[in-house]
Amino acid sequence: MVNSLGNATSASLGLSQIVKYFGQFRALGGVDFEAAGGEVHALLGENGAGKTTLMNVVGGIIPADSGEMTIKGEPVTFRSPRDAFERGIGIVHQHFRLIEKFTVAENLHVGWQATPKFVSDGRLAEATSELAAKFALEVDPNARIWQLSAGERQRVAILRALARGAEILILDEPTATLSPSETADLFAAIDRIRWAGHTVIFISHKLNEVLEIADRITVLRGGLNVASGLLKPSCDREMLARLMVGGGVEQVRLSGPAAGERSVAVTLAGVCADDDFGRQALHDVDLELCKGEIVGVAGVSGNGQRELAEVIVGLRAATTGQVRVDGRDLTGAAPIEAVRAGLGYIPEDLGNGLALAATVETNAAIKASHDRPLRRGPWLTRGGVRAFATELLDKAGLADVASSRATSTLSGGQAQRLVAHREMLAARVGLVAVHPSRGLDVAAAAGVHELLLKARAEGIAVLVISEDLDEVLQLSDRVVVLYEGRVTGRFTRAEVNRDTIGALMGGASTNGNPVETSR
Amino acid sequence: MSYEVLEGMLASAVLAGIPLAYAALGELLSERVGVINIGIEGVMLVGAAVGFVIAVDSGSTLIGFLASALAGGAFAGAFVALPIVFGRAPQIVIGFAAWFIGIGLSGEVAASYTSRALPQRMAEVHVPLLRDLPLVGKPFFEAPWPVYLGVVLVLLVAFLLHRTRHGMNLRAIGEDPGSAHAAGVPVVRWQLVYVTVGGALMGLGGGMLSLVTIRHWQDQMVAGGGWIALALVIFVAWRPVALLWGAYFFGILLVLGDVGQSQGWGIPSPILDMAPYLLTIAVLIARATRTRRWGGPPTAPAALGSVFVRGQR
Amino acid sequence: MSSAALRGHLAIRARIASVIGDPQLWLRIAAIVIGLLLGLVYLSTRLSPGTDLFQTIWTSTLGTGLGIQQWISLATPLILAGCAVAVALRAGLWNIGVDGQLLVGAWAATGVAFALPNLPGVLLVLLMLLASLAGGAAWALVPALSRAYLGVSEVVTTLMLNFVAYSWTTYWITGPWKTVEYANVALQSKPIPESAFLPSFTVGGVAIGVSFLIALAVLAALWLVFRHTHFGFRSHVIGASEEAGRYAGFDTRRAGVAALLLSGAIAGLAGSLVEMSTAHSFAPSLTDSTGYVGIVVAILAAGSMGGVMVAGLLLALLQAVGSALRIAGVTNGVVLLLVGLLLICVSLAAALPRDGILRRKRRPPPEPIREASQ
Repeated sequence: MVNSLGNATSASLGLSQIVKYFGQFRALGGVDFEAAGGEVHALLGENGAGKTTLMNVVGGIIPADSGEMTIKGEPVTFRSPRDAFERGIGIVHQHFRLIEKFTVAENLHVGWQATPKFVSDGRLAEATSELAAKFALEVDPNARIWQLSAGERQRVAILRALARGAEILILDEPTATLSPSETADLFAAIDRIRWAGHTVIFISHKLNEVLEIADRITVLRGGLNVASGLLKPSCDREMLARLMVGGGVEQVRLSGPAAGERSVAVTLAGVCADDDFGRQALHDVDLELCKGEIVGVAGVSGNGQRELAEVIVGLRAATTGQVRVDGRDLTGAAPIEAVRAGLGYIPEDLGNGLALAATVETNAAIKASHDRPLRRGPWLTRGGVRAFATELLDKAGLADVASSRATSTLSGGQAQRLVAHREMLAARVGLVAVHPSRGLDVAAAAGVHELLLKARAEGIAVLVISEDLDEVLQLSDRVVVLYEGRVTGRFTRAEVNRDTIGALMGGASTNGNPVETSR
Repeated sequence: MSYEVLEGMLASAVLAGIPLAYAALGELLSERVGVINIGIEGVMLVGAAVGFVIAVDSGSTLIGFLASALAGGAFAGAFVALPIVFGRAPQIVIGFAAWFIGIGLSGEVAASYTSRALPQRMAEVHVPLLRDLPLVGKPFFEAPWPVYLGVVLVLLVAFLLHRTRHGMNLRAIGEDPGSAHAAGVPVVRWQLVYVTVGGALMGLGGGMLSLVTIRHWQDQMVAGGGWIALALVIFVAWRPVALLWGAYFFGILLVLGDVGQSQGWGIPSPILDMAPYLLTIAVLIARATRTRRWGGPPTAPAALGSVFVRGQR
Repeated sequence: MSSAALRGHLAIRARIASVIGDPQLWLRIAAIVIGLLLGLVYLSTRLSPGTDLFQTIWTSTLGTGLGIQQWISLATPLILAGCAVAVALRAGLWNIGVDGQLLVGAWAATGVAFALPNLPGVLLVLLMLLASLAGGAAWALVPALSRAYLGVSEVVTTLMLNFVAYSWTTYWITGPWKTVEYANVALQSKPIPESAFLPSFTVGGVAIGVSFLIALAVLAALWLVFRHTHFGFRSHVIGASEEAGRYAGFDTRRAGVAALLLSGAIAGLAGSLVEMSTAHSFAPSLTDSTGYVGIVVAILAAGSMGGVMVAGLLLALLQAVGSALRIAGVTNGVVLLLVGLLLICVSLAAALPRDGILRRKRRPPPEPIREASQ
């Protein structure tokens, strides 16, 4: 391992007392950070701890309210992203920030001063190939971004940062959408970048990865430093977890046998479905959910999870195969049939489950509004809506939220509670939850987990789809692995083996060979 | 239809089509940086009115023509670019406001010029050799010089957008301003600049109408040309070079009604007048059907009409 | 405080706050006042000498029976056009095509009148009104379907169809329904039968058309629909977020189509009412940019039905003043100029609060529901 560590004078990036408010919400409350050349410095923290905000400040994307920043000892202020990358800072955003319709070559050159004043497709492609060779990151210059996988997009984004002379490379949750094998490739690339003497800032909330790749670790919590520049040898998993979370929250775990009679609630037989661009996203998925059990779907995001959830709850049509809920064939039925059949759905993106511009009352009532007592024929009973909303808010522990408030004024945690409890009420037969704790702090996540366990105890069939393997293992009676739209492994609670599942998530087949893909 | 009629029709199609090309080119630039300016008609009216007034007062149609560009640019800058880019007001609403204000303002500016005549005609440029071509020679190569300027500007914009770094940056703004900003493109600056420049081009379109095509001023004389220009941009799928052919084509459609009437065709001219709009709707539906069936992203700039707020997506 | 009491307290406070404490409402009103004042200042500089601006305004509107009469007759189509736009806007759709739908609605009604001129008056009137509803809706059908099933922007399609409708109108008044041409230009069709005229009644010397009452009835019906029906609720949810509507199990395509068709139908009704109560023949002048001013009405009203009423009356007032001032030497377009300024003021006022100028005084924004980095 490289070690110029702890040598403060060689700090390539120094931040001191960075403060950033969004309105009256304090995102950063005086954060210190420093990183040296040739090191990988991990910035560890939960969602909402301020990691991304801090790096947006470093990248010149948003201005800090106060605080100082130095690069190689020189004080700097950035007024735009361009200022930042002129000083050698390159950011690879979680969602890459690439322009979908542009080619790889165009994305590499857009907004870059070194791009020649006059361009042509051929010229840009040539320059791109040269850069790709120089930094040993293979890309297809003429491919359009929307045609690429997450790993390929990330390579483009990293190449873009390096090509622009980034000496400080910031990777924001770089593994979130990667498969384990893509992650391994990424780590190899990070290693090369480190050996070239660059600084890599690795933003993550995944302890294993941080411990694997980082030289030093800084931990943020609630917009404040809780640990700065810890050397890796002095860290272990438990200690970092405690620092990150602040302790005190018991993790909720599944216990006891599955409740109730083991009758089948939801059946998927040979289901295929397309994604939004018309590419096949699910291949012959067979799945059975029984009442009173939790089935976890493990897999890296983008392997058909969203499509699977949407097919079950009727928001996406299956191209072939059958979906049955509680004995009724709902294949190709309108979304309302799934609601009527008693399926609840906690979607991946809360914005999909909430009309943010409408009031809390409206959002509370949308699922229940189909039937009595809220609806009588064509009429909507305002009293019924109000009473329902009140009851739901009480149940969700949101009694102090005025139901006339615009939903967009709720915090992320409040919104999640609203959706989760609403869907609990709607879920009489089954509940589908996608990344149910993403973006939540640990306490809020525990609340959601408790709710899922409660649903199980009430005899509801629960499907938990998550890219967080810990979450899946923690909650599930059975686990299935989804890879490239196929179920590549099935395990009961007794058979669960972390390593096997991890390998399957990365594309190994059950006998250890890579699964054939059909991209 | 006789040779002379056909030649005459092509000639009027050029004079009807080139103002559309100017205006549509302005709209295309504006939409490429993500701002849909549906107030084209208003901007054109202001350009037409100011151009005419200045030409009459100064005695020079050239000065008038330049003034129409300045007026269009200033008007679009003040009433479209500023409220949309800085005020983050909804683009559709602001476009309507600009249209209304343009109608009112142009009427006010040129109120006493309704019966005035232009001091001179725009000089015609006769292209040697090409002007002797049969049929197309006279209409295309013995035209007033703003016709050629229009063609040159279209080609310039095409070059700018697709062959220069700057143009690539502009297209990036229209596709995804957040990503463009993160990649180092000054989004707000170029939106302001190009909505304004687009306004100047629309102003030229109006100026050409009042100074070259119609040669006098009357209230609301653009008569829907701005809306046709809006349709034209969609029709040619935001590609500047195609705009040239599209503008000629729409120009022919525009004069077809009159020709049909004078030639005693069976088709009533109002029915022919519908063609540009119906065609645009048909093209939109066809394109959407194709996207739906074959996949891929839609044709229009992806961020068209959205509000860009720095630091957000 | 117990939970119930707390909630009651909160509910009352929220109610009061939502009525008088809504900064948006006051901003909007302030913007309208500022826009109007700007207009007044401008107008006063434009008048020919010897004209008293306020005197002219007063006599052309509230000051005389005739003024009130004209005001109400101008307000009728504007209120309906505002309703039409607002109905679509509630469902998150822009109906820019009210102008065309209005004409086609009137065209359909005219067709009925010419086809069945001998029907008894009441029956004929009813049939004509129904035809205009159907005609307006039909004109919105292609935009509605292509938006719902193909994702084609309804802004463009509804707008484009306006121009098709203008040509359509020209075709009928110069062709099948031609009347004596005046100076070789056809301005209108031959008149509709007298049995199809809508009556008016007189209150205190002011003649108020039945058409105005119909407009008020439509307004009230829409209020009921949006406040107390499931259709209104669905529209509202989908207008706030189409995704959320789909997710809730609403058929968002059908709801979108229904909203645009309803919007078109109301627009069509506006056309037949103008024709049957004042114009008495089919003509392009049935719409004096009514459809576009209707957009302004709906925007000033921020989608509320009471607001549509107020804004419709306000804009009718402006139009009445405008035509009175024309005699005093002001050009035709000045009213539009004022309307445009008003529109810019109001939309800036609506956009202002989220921009930070007023942010310090507002509730702190919460952590974003999606991650800030997205």
